[in-house]
Amino acid sequence: MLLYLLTMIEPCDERKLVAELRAGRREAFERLLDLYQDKVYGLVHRMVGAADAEDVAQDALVEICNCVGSFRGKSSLGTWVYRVAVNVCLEHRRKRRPELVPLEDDFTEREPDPEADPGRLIVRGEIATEVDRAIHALPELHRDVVILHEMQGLTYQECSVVLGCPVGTVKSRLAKAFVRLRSLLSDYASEGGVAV
Amino acid sequence: MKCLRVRDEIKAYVDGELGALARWRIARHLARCAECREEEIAMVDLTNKMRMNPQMAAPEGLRERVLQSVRPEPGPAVVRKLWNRPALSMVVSVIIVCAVGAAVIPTFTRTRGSSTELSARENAKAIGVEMRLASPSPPSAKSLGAPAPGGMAPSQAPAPMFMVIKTADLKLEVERFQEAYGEAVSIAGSLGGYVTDSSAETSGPAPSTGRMTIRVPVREFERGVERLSTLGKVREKSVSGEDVTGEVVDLESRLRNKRAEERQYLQIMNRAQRIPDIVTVSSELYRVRGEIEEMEGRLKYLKSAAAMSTINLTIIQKQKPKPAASALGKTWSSALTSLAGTFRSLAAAGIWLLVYSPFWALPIGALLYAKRRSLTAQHSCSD
Repeated sequence: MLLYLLTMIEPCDERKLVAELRAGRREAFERLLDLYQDKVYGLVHRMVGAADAEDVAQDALVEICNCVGSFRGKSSLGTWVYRVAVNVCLEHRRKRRPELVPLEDDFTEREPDPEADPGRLIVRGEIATEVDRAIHALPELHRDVVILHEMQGLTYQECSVVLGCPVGTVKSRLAKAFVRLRSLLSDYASEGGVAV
Repeated sequence: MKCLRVRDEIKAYVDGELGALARWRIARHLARCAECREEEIAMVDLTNKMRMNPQMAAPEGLRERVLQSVRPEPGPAVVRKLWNRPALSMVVSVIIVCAVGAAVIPTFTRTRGSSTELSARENAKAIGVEMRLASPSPPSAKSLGAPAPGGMAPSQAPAPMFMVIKTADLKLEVERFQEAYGEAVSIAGSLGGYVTDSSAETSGPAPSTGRMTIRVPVREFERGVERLSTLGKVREKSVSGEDVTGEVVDLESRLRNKRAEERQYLQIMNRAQRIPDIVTVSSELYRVRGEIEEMEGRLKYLKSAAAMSTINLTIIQKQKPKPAASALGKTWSSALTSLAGTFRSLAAAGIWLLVYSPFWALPIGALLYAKRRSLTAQHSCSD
């Protein structure tokens, strides 16, 4: 969230950047990539998986750069960027084969390691891995909204714009997603982690 | 506030996405409900875990590949962006409407001016000013005919005078019928005219009516119409004129030719010796004489009609006005009528609802029953 806030640009700078992008200036595109390429990559990685993340992220960033002329300023530039990226990810999902590439370890079938030191799980990276697995186990509709709100730091209103659904739907999906996440992470908590 | 509802909102509460009132309600509930407080703490913890994930860095080379592939589409024109602004669109629309109106209104004004001229011309005609609306038809070549022996050449025919048969129809509403009637007769006489026929009718409560036909010299026609109009309130007024100049000229020309033909037949008769010739000439003379008489009669009528204009006058006595209903009375009666109509409409609607009650009463009843059962089955704790 802090990183997101740090990368937010002022509205007047945003207008200036958009004007330069429309003018086709290379420096403007470089600046755009500096601001959003990591965030778009992170979003794409979580939405489509690691295997296709790089290709889809490239497609999304190219689409963003090519279509910046259609940005009408009704929302912030960041929201618009996420909207384009999400649409590219959804299109990719529709096109790929129905069977999903399974994770190395299916979270639902993971057996707790009786010899594991619960204290090691407190390591931030491992917590993040568990959280990623739990998120990946969510239904797509819930997963998307969790990624956008929790990972990318968008507000409910911005999520509704990006996903094209009402704010109430975003709120409802998040609430249900967290109920499910608590259930998925309860096993981890019972082994010594922080109570969820 | 019930725990079930609070737990549905707890995530939004933790994220700070609720309005002030909802936030206050939940905070008040959390202060009283330990279970929900534990839920809040758990939600906060889980939310923090969700956000622990580090930002992913884009792989090397992605930036250059993207920059190489970028083919930006032309941006939206400034005009389009400006066009999307409602205020500016409205201003432009107003300007366009004003420009169109400024172009159209002068044209419309000129057209009205022409109509005004036409109306003025008609009005001038109505007060008896003789206007030459159509140029008089020149004497036709046929009527002049080929110059017969003894006949007059067209160049020697007298110059035609314009002859118009004027007729006016006037309907007046007067206060005192008899007085107006007598005054009309007096006006006719003072102008050198006369009344050709008249009739009056007075029966019971019905207003008196009278009709008369007045002939006045053509030069007094306008004045006659004007003076008669002052006798009462003009209800109807129409003036018409029939230009018979062409017909008169034509008749005179044909008459001259016929007379010349008659003179020729008479000369032939004087020289005729044999009986068959005399009979033939007599027959022709008889025919020509008949035609001459007919033309002379028609010509005499036209000249007489043009010399004396006709005014058809109708006089109606004014009816006594009925006492007008007061404004309050009108309002009262219209309100009562409206109320009666409303009751009728409500009664009709009730009958329709009653007849169709199986279609709406059963579903609504089932819905209410299900909702009631659902409410009673919900878990609730003290608030």
